[in-house]
Amino acid sequence: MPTILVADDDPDIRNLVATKLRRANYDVVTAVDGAEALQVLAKTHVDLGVLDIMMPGLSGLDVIREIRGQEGLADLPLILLTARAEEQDVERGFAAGATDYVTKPFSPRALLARIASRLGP
Amino acid sequence: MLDRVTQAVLPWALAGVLGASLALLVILVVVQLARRLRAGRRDPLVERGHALVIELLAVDSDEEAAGIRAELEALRGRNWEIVVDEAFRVMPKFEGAAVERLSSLLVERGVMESQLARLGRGSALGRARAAQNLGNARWAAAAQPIAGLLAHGDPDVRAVAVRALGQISDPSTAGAVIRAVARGGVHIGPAIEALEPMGDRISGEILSVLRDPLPEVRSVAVAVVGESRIRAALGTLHDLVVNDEDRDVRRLTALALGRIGDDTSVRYLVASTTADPALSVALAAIEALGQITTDEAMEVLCLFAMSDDPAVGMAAANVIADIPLVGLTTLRGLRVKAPRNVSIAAAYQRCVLASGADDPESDPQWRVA
Amino acid sequence: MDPCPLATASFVDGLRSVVEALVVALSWPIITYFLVLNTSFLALIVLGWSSSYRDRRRAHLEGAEHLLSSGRVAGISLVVPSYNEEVGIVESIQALLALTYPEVEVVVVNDGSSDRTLQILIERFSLIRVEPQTHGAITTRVEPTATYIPRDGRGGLLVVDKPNSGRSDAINVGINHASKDLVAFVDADSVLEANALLAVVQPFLDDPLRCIGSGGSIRPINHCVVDRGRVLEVRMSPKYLPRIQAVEYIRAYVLGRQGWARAHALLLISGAFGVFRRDVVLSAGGLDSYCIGEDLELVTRLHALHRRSGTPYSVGFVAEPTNWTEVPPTISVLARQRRRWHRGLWEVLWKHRRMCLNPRYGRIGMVAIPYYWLFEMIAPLLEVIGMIVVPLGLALGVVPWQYAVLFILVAYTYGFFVSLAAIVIDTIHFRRYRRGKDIRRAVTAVIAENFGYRQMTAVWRLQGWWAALRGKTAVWGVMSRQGFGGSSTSDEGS
Repeated sequence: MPTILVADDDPDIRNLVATKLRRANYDVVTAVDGAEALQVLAKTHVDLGVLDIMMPGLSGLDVIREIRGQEGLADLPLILLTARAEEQDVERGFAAGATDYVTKPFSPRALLARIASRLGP
Repeated sequence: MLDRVTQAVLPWALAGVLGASLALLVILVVVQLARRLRAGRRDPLVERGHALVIELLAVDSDEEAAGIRAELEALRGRNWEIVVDEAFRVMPKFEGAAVERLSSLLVERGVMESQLARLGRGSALGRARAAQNLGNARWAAAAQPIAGLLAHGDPDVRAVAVRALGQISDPSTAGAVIRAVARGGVHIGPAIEALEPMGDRISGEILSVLRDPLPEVRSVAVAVVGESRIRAALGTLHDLVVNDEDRDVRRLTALALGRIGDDTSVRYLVASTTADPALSVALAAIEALGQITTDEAMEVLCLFAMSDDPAVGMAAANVIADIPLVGLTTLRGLRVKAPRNVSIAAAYQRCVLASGADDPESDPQWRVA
Repeated sequence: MDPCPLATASFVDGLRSVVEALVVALSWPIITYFLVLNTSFLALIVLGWSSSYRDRRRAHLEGAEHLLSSGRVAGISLVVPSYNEEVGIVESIQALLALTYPEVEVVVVNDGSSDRTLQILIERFSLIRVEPQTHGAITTRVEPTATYIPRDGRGGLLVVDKPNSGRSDAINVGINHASKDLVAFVDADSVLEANALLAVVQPFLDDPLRCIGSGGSIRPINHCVVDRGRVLEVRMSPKYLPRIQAVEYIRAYVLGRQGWARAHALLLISGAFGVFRRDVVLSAGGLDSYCIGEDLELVTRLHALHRRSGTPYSVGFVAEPTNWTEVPPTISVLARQRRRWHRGLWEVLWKHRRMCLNPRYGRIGMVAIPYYWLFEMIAPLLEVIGMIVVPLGLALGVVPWQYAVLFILVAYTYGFFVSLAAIVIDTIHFRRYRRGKDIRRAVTAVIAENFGYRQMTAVWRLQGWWAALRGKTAVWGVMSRQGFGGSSTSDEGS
């Protein structure tokens, strides 16, 4: 099964998304901040990433910029989680190379559907 | 020189201060121990409650939910209370069927009813918590009782109530929020936030207070009018943006005009930019002009971009830079017209970089001559 | 006959009569002074506690999530003056860019660093040189020489290069380049908690019309576990010097300021963690870069300008959000810092002396400024006099031992109680220090503070005052950055 990285500093969101994905039979790796997300990406093969924009230390956008230049990660599908007030960040996210975004508060089912459509059948 | 009274008091005073210090230390130790003990007992329960709530939110169908529901329904006493706290806490972070499943569980166990009852009795903190919980659950039946809390004596209770009303977003509570602002009972920031989602469903009420004598009420009104793009207010807003005596009402009005984005507002915004004594108003007016997408607005912005005042010039140039597509070409034109203007050059460069140019320095208009 | 014993005896007699005259004149004023001083500290602490209790309850009730999604929080430009910060600059800028806040712009001002600060920034953030993006027209001592932004045009980061001219002038240059509605000054070597900005703007959200500035708490970062510009674990330093300063900061910069804010008379938002409305700072002309206590000066001047023109305004403080900053770990650096602070205090109070006891300036003129004169400015003088006169008088037999006990009781034992109260309130209420070890360290620091530390700081502060009175010209550049992150805070309540 595809492996999905879930990076969010909010444990509620991280746990829910991870639980939801595991129930849908995905393999899940989690990270509590941008730095840990980068470590995970360096070590583990990941098929898709769900990144919160606002994480302490290193933001989701920084993570994207960091990995877009790296071999093997340049085409990794990345879905950004953003709060409603961050319209600007959505633009920046796409500019940095995000694939899609979901606005908080979000429906877990809708997020799953987006992930599934990105990964194909 | 040291009289007898002092001599008599001295030992007592010394003992008093040292005794009080000792008492403080005892308090510190007792509180820390009690906290540790409590956390040791409570933390595992919270963890369990959190896991169950997350599980329930994560399942895909009601059939799958049945097992977790059965487990949750079996919980009693403190275990159940912890689950309720967790449920209300995570609810505002999610949407859709998952949240509905969670609230239907709470309804069945009578939680919503008991929260409603708590709005009307007990301590201020208890009432505020109930209002917060019902707001997080977006529980429509709680709108009126929560609106009643806007008259509560405790500012925290009122603040929580306003926010909960915004989450529930029932237009029939708008009047109560506005009256609370007028009484000085709630801050205007939370009030605007609460009224915005009600939008044009409350346009009548909002229009009627645009000329309220209190600047606080006018501020709330203009902000909501702008956010909901209520065009019927344009005439009044045009008057307010130029003539309101309060600097911040004028500023908020300028921003509201930008939100509405009507081309008749241009001349009033120009008047604000050029004549308003407050810089904050001028800057807000420039920002608003950027949101009006007509040729006239653009021409005006170009003029402001060439202003001698760096605050105005830079703000206008940046606003132009942020207009998609047109921004870049407009700034390029301005670069030719005013090659030595640094604000325009700076905004142009920013725009070129944002457009993803590979070798920006090869652009003939890149550097100032 | 040997003349020496006689001369000694007459010298002792002379000294005795001088000390006796001093004791007669000053004994009761000194006792009263310290009684009132410590009581005022206690009152501020209790006032601060009651109001941060409210804040905390409210934060607990409101949470931060809705603020993030509300769209009502104004953008903040973080102005970061940097002088020779090549070691940690990249990580601290990344941490600032990743703060939990919807709209942050970081304006780094390279204040003529002699190391590779600028080069490292250019390489690491792939910056490109652009035309200056100046919004403001604050007059600065030096002109910026170059502006850089990220090559991908992402915005949110601006680096300004300029020749060295000191921290406040660098900040003014930064303010001129800032574009958001709010500006905050942050030192590159201090660490802001991730949600600190969101919490500190609460006064602006409550009262967007009137609030012009808001400040948060400052605590020592010494010995904390820090990684990538974040405090991972809070610890109390095992060394006495930073530890005592931690106690001092809790008493004065956490609870004391909260107390002043509660009384609507806050005179000092620390330059190390203060957020201001940009337009207000611009129209006030920015920081006074010729004044050492530039942060105290700015807030005092803003009070003066608004009171004079009759514009309604408010200045807020939120104690919960914290900026962790390096405090001087050695005596020599601490001495320099305290001399500077006291000198700055004198300069500000003297510059704005007309506000003192002037009813036109409301509580600021009638309460806050006189309080600063009486209990901040003069405190070290009386403390030093007491320190000399009491032991000397005791030795010469002019001072009865009961008076010495009374002095120690009022000046030190009471002071000990006040500091202890601050520590207990802080530990129970703010819960920054959780390990038993750290709490024990704080308590012992409260005791240790009275043996040497207070006396030393009193002397340094007097020296600073003396230097100010002699009008020695201030030393800019390298020197003005000494004293680490805390150098930006003027003193109060020690």
